Amino acid sequence: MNHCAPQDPLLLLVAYADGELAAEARAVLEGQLVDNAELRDRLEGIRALQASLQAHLPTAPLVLDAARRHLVLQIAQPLRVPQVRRWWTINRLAAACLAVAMLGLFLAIPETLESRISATSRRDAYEERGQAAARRIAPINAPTTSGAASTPAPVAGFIANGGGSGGAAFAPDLDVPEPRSEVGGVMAGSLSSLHESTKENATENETIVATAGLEEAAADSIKGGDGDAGEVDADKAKDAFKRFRVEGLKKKSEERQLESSVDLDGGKPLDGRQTRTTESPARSSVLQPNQPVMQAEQAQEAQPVMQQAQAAKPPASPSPPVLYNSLVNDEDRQGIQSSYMSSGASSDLKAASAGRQKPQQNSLSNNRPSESVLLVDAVANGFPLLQNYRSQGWQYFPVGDTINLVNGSDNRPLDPTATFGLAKADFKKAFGTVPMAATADTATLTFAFTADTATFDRARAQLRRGQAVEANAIQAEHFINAVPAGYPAASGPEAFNLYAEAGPSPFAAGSLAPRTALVCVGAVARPAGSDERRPLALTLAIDCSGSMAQPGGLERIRTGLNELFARLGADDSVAIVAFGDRARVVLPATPGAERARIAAAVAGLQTGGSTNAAEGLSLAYQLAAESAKPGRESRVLLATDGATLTGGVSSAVGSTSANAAAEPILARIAADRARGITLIVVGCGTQQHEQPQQTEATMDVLAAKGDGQHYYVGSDDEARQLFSDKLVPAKLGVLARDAKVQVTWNPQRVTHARLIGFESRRLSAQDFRNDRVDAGEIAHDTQATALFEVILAEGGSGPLGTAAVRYFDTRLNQVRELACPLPGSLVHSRVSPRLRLMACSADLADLLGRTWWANQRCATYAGLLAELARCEPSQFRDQLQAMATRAQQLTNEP
Amino acid sequence: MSEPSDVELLTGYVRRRDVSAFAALLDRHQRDLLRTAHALLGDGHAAQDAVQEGFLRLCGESAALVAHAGGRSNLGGWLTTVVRNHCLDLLRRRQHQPHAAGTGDEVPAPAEDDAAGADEATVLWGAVTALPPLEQAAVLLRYREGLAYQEIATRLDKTVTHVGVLLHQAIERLRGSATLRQELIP
Repeated sequence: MNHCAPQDPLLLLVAYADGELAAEARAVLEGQLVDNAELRDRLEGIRALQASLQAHLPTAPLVLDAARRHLVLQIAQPLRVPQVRRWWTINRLAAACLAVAMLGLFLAIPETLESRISATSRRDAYEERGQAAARRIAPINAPTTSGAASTPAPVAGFIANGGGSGGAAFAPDLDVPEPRSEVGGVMAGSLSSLHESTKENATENETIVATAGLEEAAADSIKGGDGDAGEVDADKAKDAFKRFRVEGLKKKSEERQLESSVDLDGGKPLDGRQTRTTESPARSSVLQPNQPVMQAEQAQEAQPVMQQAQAAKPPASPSPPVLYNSLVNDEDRQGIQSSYMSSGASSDLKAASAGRQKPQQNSLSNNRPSESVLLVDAVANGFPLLQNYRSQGWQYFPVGDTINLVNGSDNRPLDPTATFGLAKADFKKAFGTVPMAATADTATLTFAFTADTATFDRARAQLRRGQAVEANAIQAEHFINAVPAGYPAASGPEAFNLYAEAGPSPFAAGSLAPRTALVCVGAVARPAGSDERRPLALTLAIDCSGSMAQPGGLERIRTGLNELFARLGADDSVAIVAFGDRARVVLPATPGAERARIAAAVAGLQTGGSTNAAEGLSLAYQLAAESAKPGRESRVLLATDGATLTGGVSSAVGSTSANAAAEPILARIAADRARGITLIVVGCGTQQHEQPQQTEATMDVLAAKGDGQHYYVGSDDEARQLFSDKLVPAKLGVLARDAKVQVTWNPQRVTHARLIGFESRRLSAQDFRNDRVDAGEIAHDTQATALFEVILAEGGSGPLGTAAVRYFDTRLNQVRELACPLPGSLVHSRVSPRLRLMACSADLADLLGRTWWANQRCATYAGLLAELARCEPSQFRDQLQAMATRAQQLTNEP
Repeated sequence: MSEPSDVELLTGYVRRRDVSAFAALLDRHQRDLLRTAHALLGDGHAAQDAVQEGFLRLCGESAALVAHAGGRSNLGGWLTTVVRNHCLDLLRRRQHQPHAAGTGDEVPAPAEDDAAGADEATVLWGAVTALPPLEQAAVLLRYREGLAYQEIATRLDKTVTHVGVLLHQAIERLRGSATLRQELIP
């Protein structure tokens, strides 16, 4: 595709290096390049310069800063004020008369009735918010209701009635046109007086004022009104919360019942308590499976060993509300200041919600919030307890789709067990993570295992380039898996050896810190024996879109693939599909012996066009299915920079609205998984994605759907390393499919526990034994680690609990389950170098992901760097140090 | 479940006074506009100003735009033109005030020691901002934002061939730059 007419070759080199030269010109130039060494040198120089430009140019701002955005939207506001028309004035008079009449009417009605009506109507509206809520409220402007300030209760009644058809009819009439500045002034005046009179009704009035003409705002304001725990609303809010808690408890008890049927101890009908208190003789950190082999059927029949869970404990009383603010970068700080701090030390939700609905000219209420702030309010409104914190001077700030709580004046950590009385689901909704569970309530943690490291690799590459890392794209389990754990090589007949160790948590904070420990459970998959290695049928789907022309794109993939080709066995085969705008077969399945032909096909790939990954994948899967034979490991390897995936793949998994075009390919990937064709996604490229989170998620979902692995190569060295170390034919064979881990804690020894990371891979306890549930894949000769943070019981003794791994063994074609006790003797008084490094990597994930946990323990990059300095020197330690230093600079942490 | 087009959103803003529709437009286009403005100006604050100006113009002319939308549904091009013209005006003014900040007339002296990566970045940035504005913009859009020539041409309102020439000249200039040759090019 292009563009520059053939002329002096020197003028074309830049376009050639950019992959933007038209085919004929390119052919001519390539001919000249072969003959002319000087030209080649020059091209090399240009490429080098382009590469360093790509690596080192500072990033452009991606969003308008908060102050400017606010200003623009402020100026956009006046359009809301309609033209003044004469006949409206007459209508206004009529409306005012009517309003006065109705006020009189409602004054006569007993107050209780009014309250009930208003509460009911608002509850209705609350439940139906998002639908046409506007008809429920008659928009009234402040001047007309200012007379009602002294008798606010009837106004509430009036609104309640507005839900009827009569109210709706008034709406246009009462929408009083006023020049905007005047409205603002009057509103401000009436607001302050209202505030002084009756609180809940004041809010009511603000709400009315604010909703004039805005449907969504109407729904929101009702919501906002609900949250204001005035006298009328308090009951309603309590009701909602109670209902909510009851449902939560019901669910919990159901879960408990299900969990109680779970058995983890090798199928022996033992009393659970006995099992827990029996100290295992194993004192080494290498755990041999206890009763290692167990058939699935046995497991199903095994008798429950868990005791019926105890009655639900009342939620732990919230500890003093203290948190810190150090994670907030400048932009957020600005956001907080404009959204909340400036709305007064009162920290009153009313102030915030009033300001939200009705931007004033007043500079103090610069709060035009983002969606996430609306979410914050929504969450706050649903949960009075959170609101209590707010009234004690707490601030919220949004992180992605979730919120964090900060107390700007104080920097004391919070205990990790703090849940603010929120049920699990709501804690997750509010903070994007699962709260630390009390083992008395929930003793088991179940999740899909993985050995992926993609988000770590990508974050490392981004930080090296000085780019900011998208907080939502961080997955802590990738960071933990990235640590070279150095477990001993696997031995024995089973697919895995399990390792465990525990020690004090270097980053623990809060009053529970002395009792906080880290527990690491690692799995090492055995290497494929010479007789076990099955021939590999590899189908490459290579992105040849225009963006891959850049250094770090196709060239890097070529570098890596050459490593792979060098390791091909004679029985292996490789097929190649290239895709740009369209997909085409570059090389049909070719035996590994013809290495030169395969390498030549990859070397001859040309770039151009968009990224039609859906077509590329579906062609690759078709090819793979054709060459699939029993006894062969069939893999599809997708190499892409992920920039603007077209053809529907991106939109199908990244956004809420599933794109019909992508359904077939996702279905195909899922279907072919059953036939043993799995997917490996290798990300590359240096550009910042339009929507990094979405791209990341897309690739991750693709890889997960295809039972595969997901990697990212940020440099040529990493590419070489990946293809010479992890993605080698001998290791591509999936050893364990649908690997799941379940850890059952002993409540006598461990009072609270949480799994670090794996947020998107959690499973319900009963799914552990459900072999149809898709879980993680572990290849030959790889290792995966799960890290837990636990609170040890005071003076407790006995084992920590039990860890079990369940998977489909591809060698034996059967489901296996290994169970290991986690003896109490695992807990060392000092933290081992390996555990310290893992803790540091997880801490970095928390900091980059700006998670609740980083906030909870007041994590800082400075603290992390200090801890890293204590680690034993290693290449990985240096990498973490470099990442933390760069991230510290990017966030302007003092 | 397709999203409303730009013009649909703007219509919603004009007819229903729906500021959230305007906010959606802002969210949709700010990123591309900021990149273009930053590429032209090489300065974050000035770029923010330019984009702010673009949206203020959109706000002011929204009624006219809706009335004369014709078959157009996307406002990206209109916004880009407004922002680009604003940037070019600014650059012209800067030329007349040689001491204005951010022109990057001189390449900052390379630091003596320090980490190589930071150094390299500083030196490169200095050299890139010393380029003529259009060449600077082309380089940034190409090598930072990774845009295709066609897309750069649209953003800068040039032909694709012109973009090729700009990039060629820019690369030659950078390769010829004394500091860069000293620091980076072996």
